[in-house]
Amino acid sequence: MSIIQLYLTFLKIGLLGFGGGYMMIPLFFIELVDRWQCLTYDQMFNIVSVAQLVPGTFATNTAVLAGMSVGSIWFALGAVAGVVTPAPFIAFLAERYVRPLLDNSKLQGFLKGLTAGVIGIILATGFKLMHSVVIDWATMLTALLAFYLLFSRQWNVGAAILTSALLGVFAISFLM
Amino acid sequence: MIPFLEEIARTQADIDGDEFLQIVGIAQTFPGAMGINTAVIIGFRMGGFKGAIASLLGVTVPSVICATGLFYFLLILQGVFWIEAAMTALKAAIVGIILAMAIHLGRRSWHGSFGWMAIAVLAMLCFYQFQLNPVFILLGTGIIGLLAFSGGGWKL
Repeated sequence: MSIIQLYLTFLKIGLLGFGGGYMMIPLFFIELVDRWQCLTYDQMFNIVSVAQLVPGTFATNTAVLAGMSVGSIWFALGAVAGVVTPAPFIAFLAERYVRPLLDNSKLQGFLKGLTAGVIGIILATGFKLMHSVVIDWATMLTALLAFYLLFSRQWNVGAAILTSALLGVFAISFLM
Repeated sequence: MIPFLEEIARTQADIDGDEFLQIVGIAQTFPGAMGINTAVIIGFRMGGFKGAIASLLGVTVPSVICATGLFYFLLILQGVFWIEAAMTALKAAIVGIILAMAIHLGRRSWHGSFGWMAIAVLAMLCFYQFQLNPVFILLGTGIIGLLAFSGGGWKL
């Protein structure tokens, strides 16, 4: 895979990623693992997990880590450039055309349906990934703890991930 | 990220609470990361395309530096005996985070509508069971929403 192809792939993901970073996770798998086969399923899963540990936007973090894994720092820059290329044009369209339309009931209905779809797909992504990693009581405990800390205790994402993963390492090492 | 952007909008661009929330709302209607979209809209309002590109660079460069650093750090750690357990634990935690995030966001936007919930479940099944392309699923749910929620159509 060349840098240009990687750039175009991330441009596509950036243009199709309605619903933000989490919605891009299935697109990363479809494009990079299934279509281009430049990363394995396991590598991609590692990348989207590690990307949450770095401050900054999830989409650009994933682009950097995927680019580095495929090739080099140049691939990483190409991937980031791809995923952010639409942004200035989005700003232009938002200011010129969408702001006056925001009260339009058709647009609101469309967006409401879109949001429902986004939530459904993110849920399905979670369940799909769960199959490959939640395989014993230790990993189950880790996932549940992360869910509990974020959802019920309203911790921030970074703190919830680090705490549950740390306890998970102990539980998993204990099993091995 | 949103609280930081809110502070910048207030102190640098004179954009107050309600207007900021409106910008976030518009940012969410476009594809791509919400943080980046919010930042470029604020930038565009301040200085046109130049402003948008400046804020885009500002919001992207730290992420590139940090992620590159982390990549090399993990490369060094490769082969250390506990790193495999750490990656497994991290992935398990991410699964919990993704599910929690979906339910949290869903609870905020369903507004007691069972039709909305049905669309979400339908999208979930289409992706989980039938492996349809997520972009087509979103287009479909958007059109259902347009017909069902926009008044005049079938009310759900």
